[in-house]
Amino acid sequence: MDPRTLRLQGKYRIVSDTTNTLPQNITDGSAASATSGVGSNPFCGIAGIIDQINISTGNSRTIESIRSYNSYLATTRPFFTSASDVNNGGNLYDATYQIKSTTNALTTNQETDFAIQLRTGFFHNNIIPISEKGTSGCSIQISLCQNNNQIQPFFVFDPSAPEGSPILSTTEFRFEVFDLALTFDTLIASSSLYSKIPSTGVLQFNTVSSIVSTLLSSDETKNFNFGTTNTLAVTHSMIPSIHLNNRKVDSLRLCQPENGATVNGKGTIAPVTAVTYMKSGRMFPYDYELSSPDQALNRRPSAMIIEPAQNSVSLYNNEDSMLSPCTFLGLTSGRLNLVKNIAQPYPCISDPNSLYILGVPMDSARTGVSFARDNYSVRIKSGLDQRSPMTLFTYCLARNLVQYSPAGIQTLE
Amino acid sequence: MAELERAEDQVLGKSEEKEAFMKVESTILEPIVCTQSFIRFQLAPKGVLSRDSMIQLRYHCNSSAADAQLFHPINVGISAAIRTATLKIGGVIVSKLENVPYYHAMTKAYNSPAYRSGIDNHLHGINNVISQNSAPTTESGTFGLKDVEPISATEGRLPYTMMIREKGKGGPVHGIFLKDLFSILNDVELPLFLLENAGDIYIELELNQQTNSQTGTDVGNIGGDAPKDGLGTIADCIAKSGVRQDIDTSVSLDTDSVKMFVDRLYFNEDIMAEKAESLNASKGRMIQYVDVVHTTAALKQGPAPAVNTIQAKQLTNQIAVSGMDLQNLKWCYTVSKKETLGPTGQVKQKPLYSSDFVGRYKMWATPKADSYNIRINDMMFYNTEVSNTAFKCSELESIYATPVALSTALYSQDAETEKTGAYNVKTNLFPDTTSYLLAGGLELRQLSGSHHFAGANVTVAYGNALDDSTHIGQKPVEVQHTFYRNKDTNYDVTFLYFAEVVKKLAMKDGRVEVFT
Repeated sequence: MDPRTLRLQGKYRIVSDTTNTLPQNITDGSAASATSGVGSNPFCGIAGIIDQINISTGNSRTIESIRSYNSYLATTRPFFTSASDVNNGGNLYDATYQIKSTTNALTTNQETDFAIQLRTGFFHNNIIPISEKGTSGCSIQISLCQNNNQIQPFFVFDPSAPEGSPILSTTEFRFEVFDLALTFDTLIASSSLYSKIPSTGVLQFNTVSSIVSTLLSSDETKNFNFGTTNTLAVTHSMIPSIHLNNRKVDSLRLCQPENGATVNGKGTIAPVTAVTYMKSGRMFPYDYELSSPDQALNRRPSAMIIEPAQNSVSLYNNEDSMLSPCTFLGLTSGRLNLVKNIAQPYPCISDPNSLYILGVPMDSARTGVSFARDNYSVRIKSGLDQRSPMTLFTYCLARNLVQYSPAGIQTLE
Repeated sequence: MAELERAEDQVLGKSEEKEAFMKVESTILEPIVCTQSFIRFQLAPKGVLSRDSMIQLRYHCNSSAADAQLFHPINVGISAAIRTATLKIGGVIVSKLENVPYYHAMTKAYNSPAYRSGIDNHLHGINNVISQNSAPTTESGTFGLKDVEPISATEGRLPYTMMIREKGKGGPVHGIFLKDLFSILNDVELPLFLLENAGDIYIELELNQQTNSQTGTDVGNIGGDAPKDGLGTIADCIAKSGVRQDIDTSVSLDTDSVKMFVDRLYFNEDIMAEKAESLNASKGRMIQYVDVVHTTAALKQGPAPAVNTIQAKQLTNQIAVSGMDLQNLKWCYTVSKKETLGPTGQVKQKPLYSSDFVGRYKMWATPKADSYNIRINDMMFYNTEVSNTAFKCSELESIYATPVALSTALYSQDAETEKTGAYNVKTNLFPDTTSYLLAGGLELRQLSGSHHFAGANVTVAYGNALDDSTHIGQKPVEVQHTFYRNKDTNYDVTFLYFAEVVKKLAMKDGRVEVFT
């Protein structure tokens, strides 16, 4: 199988629970109605419906399993795709994949086709032998998320206001996918060539494991036992726990710690002032605290914290990214035109305050660091008031090595 | 570390002089024939022709009223001027590209948005990178063109560098790489030095013309004119204060501007001899290259569909590539129908399936996505008809192993049309002219679904390696379409197919031979 051609294709629509009709989103900032105020996370698009992907061999041996896939996608995808690439090509495969929630809402007004990649480590390979001299077939199990996790209001940003007004429909909607098909190219060897192909081999790929925990206090250390031998990077994202599976807000938002978030509204930002990454209690890979309280408290980019976080996703390939002072902190920057001196308005740039993650790459050589016998810890200092639980998603990216043979597959690393 | 042996080895930044193994000679070549409809260049049989050699063209408007009011169609730029490009060696047609603008509208769509914005925009006059427009909340998030000059948050204009000027006032001078006209130059650098006895080497361009000089509110659609002579063939016209202009929109080639910048490469003797051997047919050697075979087909207007219904028409078109090695097939649909829109407004008539921005080169996305399958050597290429719009893009990606870099709003109307009845547009991803004015008020919404094309990679592997193709037997390739039209789109349709096939070029007894 050539995984570059692997696509999950089908049709997608969001319909009213009561009338089975499509939304009629109006993005002019007018008040929500029974039909206007339905969208999804624009950075995830249709892929936001996938909660979990399990990939196993034809004889039911698990190869890879990614839980909270949609959250992982929301956490990582904006860091290796530029806004221009999303607008010009990215949204061809999924019309709801956009840089603005209003554009996402407009596309939600119609039933649309999609043909999306499954962004797992295993399918990021070149050629995967799925014949009997390989994995003996491949089974992909996709679990969908709750409606309330995928469906959300959309946000209208006034030209000068970084806080978008949420437009939330007064009735409930659900998503539907149908006419599904999995398409891919297979290379079929002639009988003479097939006889020469060895029946055992090794596959190497990066895989993601996810852990969900809670962040509550202003100075908290979280310990995780990954059990991975070749850990490449660890990435964290967070959201107020009250916003999980909540159709009244964006349940896939990448936000800073917030105090006092309500069921349908953001809280007060409690900025992260310092982060320390540790291995078995020792600071690692940086032997110092990543601290930038001045920038955090004065709403300025904390480069010391965000730069490693970005690299934890991109593994130092930072050519294309949506990370900017606007998406990170909601700051507008630059001008539309230096001559006319017109400020860059929010309607024409990526949604502000939409990307905030923590994380650290473990090894610039990309060979990985072993956490098989060591705990991974992260100490986060923030302004949290101990009454506003934040759900902390932790994604561990590790290199995986499996050996396949007629007896099945065996994990080597 | 090796020990430094000589004194000069210890001088930083200085290396031992080595004999250069390649020399580049750049010359400016004037055409031997240059008219408004035809250009011919003759190349001297010297050196190796660089694929980065380029032809320069400039157009100017014929009327002073049209000065800085016209621009080349934004999806093809200066390619709009070229109908056919031919490379001939000793009377043998080595490569021929027909209907150049449509082919370039497809292939340029593979260039990244950054390249189109930074290079194609200035070199070719292409301006179809999409970003959100700056219109405030009234149509927040709707699409616009990225490369515009803002006048205010609700108004922008096309860059002044795109605007065609009156003769004597300058204006943009555009260039087209030879490799964009002749796929052979993407694959090989042509060893001209071997062609001394092969006969004359010509590059010929047949040009389109935009001669319509009639004025009136129906500019661009003068009754009875063939569409090829009307507005949008080589240039489009901006509006003024939301109203289309009543001016002469004809343009002429600035013949003084027509030049070819020829880069010739000279290698050392070993490499030149190696290149000569690679073409030596008497030793059974030849070089492979890709050429484009163009086929057109027509679909006549059908019986009038009832209101709020859509009419399906099944048809099969044959692609004449029998006996060839086919790599991929791309196609698009165009409609040259013109229709009276009604008595209101300044524009009584306009080309219905031309566009304010892309002129004649609108590649039409049908309201309901068409479906197709391909029959190759008596085998169906897909095990089911392809109709999923997003999957069509995935298939286009596999042709060149790189994704198409177009906005979904340009590629199709899938996110805009309802999926019942006549598949009418219910949502607009582009703003109307009341909330955002561009180019004086041209309708951005005409861009919707204006860049649609489909295709299939028929090679064995992903991408298009030269040694990977499917040999077509005696039966031609058949493309089986199910095509949908509703009451408002029930017009004659032209299907334009571009098949990329692998050919072989060899030299025998001083003559060029082309094998398919």
